[in-house]
Amino acid sequence: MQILLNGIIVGGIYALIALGFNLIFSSTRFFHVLYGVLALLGAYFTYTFMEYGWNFFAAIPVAALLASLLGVASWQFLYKPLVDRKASSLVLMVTSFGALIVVQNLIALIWKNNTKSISITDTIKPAYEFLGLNITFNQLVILAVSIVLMVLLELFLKKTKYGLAIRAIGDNAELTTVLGLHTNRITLLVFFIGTFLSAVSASLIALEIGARPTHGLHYFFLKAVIASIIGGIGSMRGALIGGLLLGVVENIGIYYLGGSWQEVVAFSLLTLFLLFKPQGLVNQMQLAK
Amino acid sequence: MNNKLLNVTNLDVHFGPTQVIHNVDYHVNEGEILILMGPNGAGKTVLLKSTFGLFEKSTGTVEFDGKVIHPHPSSMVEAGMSFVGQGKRVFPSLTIEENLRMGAYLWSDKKMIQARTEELIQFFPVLKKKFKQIAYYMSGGEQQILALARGLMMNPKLLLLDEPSIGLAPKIVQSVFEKIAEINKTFGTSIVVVEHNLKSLLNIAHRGYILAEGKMLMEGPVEKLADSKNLEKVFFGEIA
Ligand SMILES: Nc1ncnc2c1ncn2[C@@H]1O[C@H](COP(=O)(O)OP(=O)(O)OP(=O)(O)O)[C@@H](O)[C@H]1O
Ligand SMILES: [Mg+2]
Repeated sequence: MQILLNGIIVGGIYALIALGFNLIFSSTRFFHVLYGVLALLGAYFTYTFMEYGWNFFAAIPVAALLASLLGVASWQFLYKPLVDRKASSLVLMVTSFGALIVVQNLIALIWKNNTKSISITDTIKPAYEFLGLNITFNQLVILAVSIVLMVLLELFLKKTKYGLAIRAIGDNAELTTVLGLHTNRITLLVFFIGTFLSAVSASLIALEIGARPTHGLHYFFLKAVIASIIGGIGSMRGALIGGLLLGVVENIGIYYLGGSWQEVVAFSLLTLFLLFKPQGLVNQMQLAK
Repeated sequence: MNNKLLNVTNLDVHFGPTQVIHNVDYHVNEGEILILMGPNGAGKTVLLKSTFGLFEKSTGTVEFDGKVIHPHPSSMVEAGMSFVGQGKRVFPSLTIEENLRMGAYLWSDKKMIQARTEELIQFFPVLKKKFKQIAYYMSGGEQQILALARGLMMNPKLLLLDEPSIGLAPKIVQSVFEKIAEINKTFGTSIVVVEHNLKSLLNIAHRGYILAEGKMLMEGPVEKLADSKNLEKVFFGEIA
């Protein structure tokens, strides 16, 4: 049970990362690799604000906001000019990868290569006991923030006019243009929301594992992609389920095999899905065909 | 003399170095159903899309509702034009209700949207049954009806339809065409229909053009176009 709980908590974050990734993927249809390192920047911004004495809960949203603006800029100034020139999704992905390397090196330059850790309070709080399960204060915060953000995202997508437009673009971008929507504005909004989710997730994860320059690619991007593929790329529900499943399976793996097997377990899960259910658990792309 | 709702003059469209539309003039009178014919690759779709601003024209003027407009989809929609294309016509993962809502995205008055939606589902009863279901599960004919209804949400003055019959069974085609005539009568919407199949539109359209290789060949009442030897030449010359 304890493993399951830990898995769900980590899985919640993976789900959040995957949700942001999928949101961007479904409206732009390319692998935004840079996503991982922008999320990581969010964690570094949080770290820096806290160095200046900010409270964790004040630092997180402001840091995520800054990262989101960079996400928005990456669409407007990096990808959009290429898309306007009819660049393929492969070209976009390679560009994105290049940008990731640049940002990763800048991070190493500014914050150095060692791990920066973040903690909410100076004193270590004892774990709470709950129905025989242990949950730390950090885990509680992570769980609460993940749930709140997911609910907000769901409400936004289902209940608002912009949410409707975002879902519509994911379905059929050309048609939204025909109906007179300013699709670029909607895409910018998608980059904003997607990056915001990822940056908050990264700051939360940093509570547990700290932040290192390589986390962008090796951690955030990979988790987003693996969770998305398991869940079904392009699907919001799929990202949620994929993230949770990944978190739980990883934790079971860690428990029985040890921490160094985490990546192996994640990739084995991915491989299983690629072999037996490549379209993922929720097949959204079939709808959009 | 009829009032010209849309007047397009001297239109040229290029894709890179190739010219696809050559100095084309056409117009749509208020209240009429206009048919635009021509063989595959004649440039019918490009003509409609560049009128609507989905393709950039090289030269030419587009005058709509008394004003010269530089075509861009959002300004055209705002001015009262609506376009239903040839390809994927609906948002498959949105419900019928949400699909219709997308047709009036530029409107923000909820009551107005509600009222118009009600009016259109009365007019297209097929939409009523599956109102809260996603469009993915609709048949091709139902999707076409949904696309038409969505195109009418903002009560446009002019509706551009690119091959509404494509992919539909002949029986359904007839009912879709009847619906098009009914739209014209009920809402007073002027309509441009691109079609290969002249016969099925003979009783419905008022006037037509024949386009071939990017040039306007003929203009006139439908009967005249249907009669002409030119038509045979254009189509059968192409097939042979
Ligand atoms: N996006 C594009 N880029 C380059 N060339 C294009 C593009 N769209 C159309 N063309 C070319 O323009 C010409 C006219 O095409 P268009 O689609 O307008 O024909 P059409 O009359 O609609 O034919 P159909 O009856 O098959 O729909 C064709 O030669 C086509 O290859
Ligand atoms: Mg065509």
